[in-house]
Amino acid sequence: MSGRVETLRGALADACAGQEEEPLVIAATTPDAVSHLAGLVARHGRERSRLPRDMSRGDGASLGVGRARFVIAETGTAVVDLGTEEDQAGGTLLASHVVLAAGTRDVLDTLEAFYSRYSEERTGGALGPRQALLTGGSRTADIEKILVMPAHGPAAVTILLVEGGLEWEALVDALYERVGPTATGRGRGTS
Amino acid sequence: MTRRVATLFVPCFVDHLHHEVARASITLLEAAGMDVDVPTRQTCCGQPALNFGAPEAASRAARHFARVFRDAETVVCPSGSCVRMVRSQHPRLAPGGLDVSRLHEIFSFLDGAAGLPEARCEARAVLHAPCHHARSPGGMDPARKLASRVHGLELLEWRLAEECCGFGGLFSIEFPRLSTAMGLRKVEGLVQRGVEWIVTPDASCQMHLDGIVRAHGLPITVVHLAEVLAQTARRREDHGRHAGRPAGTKGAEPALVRRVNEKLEIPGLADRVARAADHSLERRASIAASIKGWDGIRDRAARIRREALERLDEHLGSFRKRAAASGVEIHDAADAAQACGTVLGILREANAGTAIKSKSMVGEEIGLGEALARSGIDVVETDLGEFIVQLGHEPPSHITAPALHVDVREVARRFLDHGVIDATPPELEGETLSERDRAGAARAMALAARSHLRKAFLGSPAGITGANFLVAETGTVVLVENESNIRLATTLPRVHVAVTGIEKVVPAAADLAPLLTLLPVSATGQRQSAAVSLLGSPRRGARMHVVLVDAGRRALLADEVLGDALACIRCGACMNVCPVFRTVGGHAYGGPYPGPLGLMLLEELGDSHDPLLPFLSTLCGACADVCPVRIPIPDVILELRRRHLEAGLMGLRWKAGLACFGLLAASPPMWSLASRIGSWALRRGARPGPLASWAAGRALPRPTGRRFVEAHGRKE
Repeated sequence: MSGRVETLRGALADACAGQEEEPLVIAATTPDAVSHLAGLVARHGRERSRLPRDMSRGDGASLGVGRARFVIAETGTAVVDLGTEEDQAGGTLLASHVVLAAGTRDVLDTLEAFYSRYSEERTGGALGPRQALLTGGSRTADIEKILVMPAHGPAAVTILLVEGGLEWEALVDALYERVGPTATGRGRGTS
Repeated sequence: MTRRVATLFVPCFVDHLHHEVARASITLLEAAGMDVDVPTRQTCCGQPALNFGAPEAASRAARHFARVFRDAETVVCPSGSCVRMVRSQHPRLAPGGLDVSRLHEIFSFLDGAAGLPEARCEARAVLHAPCHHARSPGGMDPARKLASRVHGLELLEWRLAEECCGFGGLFSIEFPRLSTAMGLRKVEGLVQRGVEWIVTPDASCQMHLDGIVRAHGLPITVVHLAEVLAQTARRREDHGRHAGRPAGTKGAEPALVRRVNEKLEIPGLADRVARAADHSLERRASIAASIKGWDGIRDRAARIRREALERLDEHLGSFRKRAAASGVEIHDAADAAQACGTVLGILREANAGTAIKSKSMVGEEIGLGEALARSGIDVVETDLGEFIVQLGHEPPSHITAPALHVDVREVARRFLDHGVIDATPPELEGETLSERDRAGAARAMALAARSHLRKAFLGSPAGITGANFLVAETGTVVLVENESNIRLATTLPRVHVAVTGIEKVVPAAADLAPLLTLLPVSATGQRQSAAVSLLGSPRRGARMHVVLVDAGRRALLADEVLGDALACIRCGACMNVCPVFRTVGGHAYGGPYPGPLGLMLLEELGDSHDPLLPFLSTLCGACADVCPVRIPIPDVILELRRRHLEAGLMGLRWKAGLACFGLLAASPPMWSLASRIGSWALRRGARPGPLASWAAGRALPRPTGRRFVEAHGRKE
C-alpha cells in the first residue's frame, strides 16, 4: 500500500507542479481529516466554502470539498462520481481550491485498473452514469505554450487520503458540526 | 584468392551531378578489399515517380533495375534513400525481380570492414541524418560510427539533425520556396556556431543543401561522408552568392502554392509554430520514455481503433441503445447541413439564444459556429485558443493548440479591441519582450479571459461540445480537456449537445485505458489531461443530446487505404513533427485539419478539395513515427497522390512527365540522351520548367557533362 501512495505522491507532484496548495494530504483517522478540512474552511471563510451538502451554485466559491470514489496512483487522478447531485458539483467546480477525500483503500495502481472495472462498477451501481476524472488544477497553455493556472476551473486540487478507509457520511456530519451550515445550505440531511 | 565483387548502384543525382561521391565510394570499397563493378546500363530506382504517385513508371524503373542487378552478388549504394526504396518497394513493383537483401547502403556495408584508410579532416562539422536513412534498419549508427573515427573532424551536436531538409524529391520543384525555406531553417545558426561542414550520408539531401548554402552565400561546405572517408572532400572556396532566380517567376501558381508562399512571408510564424510544437514534442518524448511498454500500448490502441472501425455500426448501435436508455437523446446527421440544422433545432426547442462552446474539430469541419451565428445564435468559444481565434475572425491553426500562430501581443490587441481587457498589460509596453514579460502577459490574458467568459458560463442555457470517444459498452461520451471549460459547459447549462463523428466509438470502457494514456502524452506531453468527463446520462433536470455526424465518414471507411485515417484520435502529434507544418503553420492547408492529418482527411471531410494538397509533404515519415495508433500516414498520402495523378487532377504536366520518366528509366540509351540534353541546357544557362523552380532560392548543381556510369563504368 505505501508503495502505491508513494507512486501517487510522485504523480501528483508532476500533475500539480506550480499549485500553491499541498496536492496530497494523508490523515490517519476520520477526525484528523475533519480537523484538516475545518482548518481550510476557517482559512477560506465559511461563506466562501462549498461543502458536500451546500446547494449554492453561485460564483465566488474559494474552497470546494467533495469525495473521490477512486484515486489512480500512476497519474495522480481523482475519480469524482457526479451522481445526481451535480448542482453541488457545479459549486465545487467554480471553487479555486478543490479538496477530494478518499480512503487509502480506494487508491488503484493504474488507469488500466480503473477502466477495466468501470463497466462492472456502473452495472453494480457503485458508480453512477457521470464521472469527472481530475488530475491537477485547470490549466491552459494556449498562449505561446506558456502554462497558466487556472484556466476556467479550479486553480488547485488536493487529494485528502484517510488511512484505511473513508467514512464519508461520518466525515461530512462531523465537518458540519464543526463549521456549521450556511444560509444556503441544508447542513444535515441526505446526500 | 579471388577478391569479392561489389556492384555499385549509382544514384541518379550522383550519376549526373555528383561524380565525386561515386568516385569516393569506389575508393572505399576497393580499400575494403572489393573489386568494384559499375554496370553502365543502370538508370534509377524509380523513387521520384513512386513518390509523386506514378507507380507504373516506378515499376518500369524497378523492373529495369532488377534486370541490371539480378546477377550481382552484392550491390552497394551511397544513398540510404534509394536503398530503402528498393528494399521496401521493389518486391511489390517488380515481383520476382531481385533479391533485395543483396542491396546494401554503403556505410552499413563498410561498418566493421578491415582495410579502410585512416581519414583525417580538420573541420568543425555536423552530421545530417537524412529521413529515409535514419528510418532504415540500423539507422544512422554505421555512418555516425565511421564519421566519429575521422581524425580532426569535430562533430558538433545538431538539434535539427534529424529534421527533414525540405528536399522531398519533386516536392522541391512543386513547392520551391517552401522547400528552400525548410532547408534554410535547418541550417540556420550553423555559421554562428562555427560549423564549416555539413556531412551527409545521402546524396539527394546533399544536392539540396548545397544549392541552398551556395545561393545564400553561407560559408559552409556540404559534403558526402564517402568523400570525407576517402580523403577526397574539398572545402568549398567560392563563398560568394550564387544568385538564385527570384521566386514566383512562373505565371499562374496553384492556389495552394500561393497560400503556402503567403505564410512564408509572415514574420516569425515558423519560429512561433516550431517553438510551440517542440514544447509538446519534448515533453511527449520524455513522458513516453517513462511509461512502461509504450510501444505495446500503441499496438493495443491501434488494434482497438481498427476493431472499432471494422464493426462500426454494431458498436454505434450499442452506444445508441445504452445512452438512450439513460436518457441521452441521439440524433443522426448524414451531412454538415443536417448536423448544423439538428443542433439549431435543439437550441431553438430549448429556447436558447446563446450557447457556450468548447473546441470541436467536427464543429469546425461542418461549419457549426458560422451556421449557428447565421441563425442568430450567439456562440461563445470558451477554449482559450478558440476564443482568441474567434476574436480574430480566423479558423484555428492546430487541432489541440488553435492559437499556436498568435503571439501574446496580438492576443492583447484582440482582447483590447473586444473589451476583454481595458488596457494593454504593462509587460507588453517594451519594444522587446523578455521571457518574463511574455509569461506575465500570457498569465494576465488567460485570467482576463477566465473572468470575461465566466459570465457567459453562468448565464448560458446551452453548452456545445465535441467528443473524444464514445463507449459502446456503456453508452458513455468521453471528453478530454485541460481548461475545465468542458466541465462547465456540460454542468452549468440546462442543455448539453455533443457533436461528434461516428468514428469516435470504441467497443469497451477498458479500451479507454490505452487510448487515454496515449492521447494526452501525444497531444500536449502530459501524463494525463487535467479533466476527463465520462458522461452517460443527462444531469438531473437537464437534457443531453449527441449528434452523430457522418459527413463523408462512411464513404471514407469503405475505402481500403484512406479509411485507415479514421483510426486517428486527434492528438496532433503528426503536425507537431511535420517539417512542412512547422514552417508554414496550419492555415496553409486551407481546411479544419492541418498537417499530415489534413492531407489524409481533407479529401473526404470538409469542403476544401485542393488536388495539390496530398503533395504538400516531403514524405519524410516523421508523422508515422509518432502516430499513437500507427496510421501509415505516408502510405495514405502516396495513394492519394496516385489517384490524383491518375484522375488527371494534376494536369498533363506531371502525368506525362512521369510516364516519360518511366520510359526513359527503362531504356539506358534514352536515359543517357535525356541526361545529355539536360546537361547541355544547364551549361547554356537554359532553365526549363523544373530547373527554373529549383533555381528559385537554390544554386543549380554544376553540370558534369557525362553520366558517371558512362564515363567510368565497365564496358559491356
